[in-house]
Amino acid sequence: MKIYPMSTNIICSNLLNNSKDQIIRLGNCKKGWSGIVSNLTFIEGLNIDWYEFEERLLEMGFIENAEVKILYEGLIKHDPIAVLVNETIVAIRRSDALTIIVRPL
Amino acid sequence: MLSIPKIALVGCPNCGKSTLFNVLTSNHQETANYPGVTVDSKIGSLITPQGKTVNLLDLPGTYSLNGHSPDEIITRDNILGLFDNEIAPVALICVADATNMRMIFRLILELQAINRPLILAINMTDIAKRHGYNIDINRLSIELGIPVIPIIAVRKVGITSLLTEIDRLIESNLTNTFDRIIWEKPTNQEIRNSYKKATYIFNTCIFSSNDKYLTMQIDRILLHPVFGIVILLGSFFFIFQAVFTWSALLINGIKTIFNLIITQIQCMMLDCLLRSLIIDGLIAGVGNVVVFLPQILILFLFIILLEDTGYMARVAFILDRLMGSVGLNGRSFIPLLSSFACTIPGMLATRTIKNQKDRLTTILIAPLMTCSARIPVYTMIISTFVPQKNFIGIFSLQGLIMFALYAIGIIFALIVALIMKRLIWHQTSEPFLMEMPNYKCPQFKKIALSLWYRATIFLLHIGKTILVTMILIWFLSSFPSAPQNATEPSINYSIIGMIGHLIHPIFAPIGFSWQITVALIFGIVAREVVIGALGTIYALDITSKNIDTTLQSILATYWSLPTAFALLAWYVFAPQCISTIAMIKHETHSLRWPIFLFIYTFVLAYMAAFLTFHITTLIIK
Repeated sequence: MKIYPMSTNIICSNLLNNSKDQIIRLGNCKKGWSGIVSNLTFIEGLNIDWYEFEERLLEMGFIENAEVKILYEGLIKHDPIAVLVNETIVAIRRSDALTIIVRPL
Repeated sequence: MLSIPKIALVGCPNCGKSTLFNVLTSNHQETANYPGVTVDSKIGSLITPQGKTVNLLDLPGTYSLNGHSPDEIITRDNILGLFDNEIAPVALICVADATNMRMIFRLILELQAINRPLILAINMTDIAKRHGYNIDINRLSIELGIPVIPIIAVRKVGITSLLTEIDRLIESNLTNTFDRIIWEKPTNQEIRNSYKKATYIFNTCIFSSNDKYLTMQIDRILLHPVFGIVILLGSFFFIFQAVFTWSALLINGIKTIFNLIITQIQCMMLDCLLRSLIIDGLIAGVGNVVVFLPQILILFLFIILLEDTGYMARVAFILDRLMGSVGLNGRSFIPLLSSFACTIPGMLATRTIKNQKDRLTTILIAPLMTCSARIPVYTMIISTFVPQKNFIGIFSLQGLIMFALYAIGIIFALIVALIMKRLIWHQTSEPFLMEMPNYKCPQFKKIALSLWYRATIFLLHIGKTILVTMILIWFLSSFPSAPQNATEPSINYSIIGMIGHLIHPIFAPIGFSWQITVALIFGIVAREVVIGALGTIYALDITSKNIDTTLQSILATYWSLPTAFALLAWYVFAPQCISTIAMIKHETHSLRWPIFLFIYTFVLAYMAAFLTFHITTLIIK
């Protein structure tokens, strides 16, 4: 599994300037974005043991190569988001979805 | 083998396990079926085509055996036979939602590792077909190496094949019943590997157009950033209105019946002690409570509807930010909503919350949601003391006050949560991760069964607790009888009068009379009793002809406006009923939290009543 170096400031994804080596995090993507999960990574500030959170993400279907699409978002700060993961719709907060590294289709 | 074989139903949440359970066991079930998701195991029995009796266990939905939350732990421990007095089920029936198969394959692979015979029942095959799914049942059975039966639980399709399969299973597998189950928690890498296998099976056996058309169309409106919130508020307002307006007709009907009984008895019996017991103690007391059954049932109806249609998960989604600001997450809202009906199912629903502190906080604030047992007290006081005027032409003043009482409860619940989570535990909320199920048409029979069950519980509760309490109150307030040369009403000389006068000084500063004080003590047994108790205590000398108007006119003459409002304020926080306290003890496995809850609600209630009493007194001067 590739592990990307982490900075305390989560990189704001720039969807227009989407070069290959830029990391896109699902939590930064706009409504309607669709793509594929590359991997799951640890970030600071999760109020849960990372291993357990990864386990729960996996159980909900966030696994490498799963197809994801952001279907809906909340009113305040576009948070949380409802993501179509393969055939399942999963609600997740943007801050938690920063752990999910994705790439466009 | 002598003992009855036990088979368990397992599956992801929202796959229709409970529906299948109801169909298979028809009416032979034992435990509670509270609205909302199954959070406890239920057991029922069925008879197979070959005439064998089988016990069937319905378990809370889970995605794995990892046990992230209390309800998932219940499922795991049942399957693995980790409970002390329970043997593990001899076989498992895995229930899958045909429109959402990928996750169940992973669960099946995990269940196969524990070496128990397994049947896969694919539910909702009709919906799947309509959505363009095509499942190769034979291939699936070969790939998984287990029997696969397509069913439609709602319409009882495929049930016979499932029962036949159960028969076959019991015959062939009775030998290895006593094997120890060996289970090891899979690592995340193993989860990934089993996903690969699951995806392979999925791709070879299921042909889908990946069409969630209907659910997505509905969600486009219901989860719209603006319309979603408008619809959410609108539906809550509608529910609130329905609880109070739809019930009016039924309530009047119940009142008429009770008044009829009272007049009949008055005609038949001579005025004596026994008549006083029957009329004042039993009929008036029980009548005062039964009157509220319609409101409680209407509220439960809506909560079941929210849950069964799949909208509840959307409510959690929309409100997640709000809950997040006080350190909880959207999931906590579901138990809180149930608590408006009754705190007990609310507490049970907290078992789906994964973070322990989140769960504890939710348990501790759930009693601040105005439960239906408080409705009688609110209605009685408001209808007596608040004039039937309109406010700005549209809203009734009485309705607005009622709404305000609910709102105060909610606001304080959020404040308490904020203090507990953010200031005491310094915790942000746990991650919000929740599947949004497909929308489903609610089933009339399941709802009717659930409501019927609630109604019987309510009436039985009255039968046991309230009836006994009412008789006790009547007895304590009638004996010892007043001396010959008594100048005051006889109740002042009774045991209840003595207790009331003894404790009264504590409650005098908040404007409560000694009669109210006594009623509050009985209110701890069950809140519904308070109105009945007040009725009995005040009405002992007057023969009640009409339960409600008499008590209302008595209250109007005995109580001042500040006292009435102080009691309303008290009841927003009111120290909890015995059942709630017992439930908290049961769910937290400690005495500390129920005691904490009792003290903090008492302090809040006392302060609120104190302020209300003195501010109202100042205003009307």
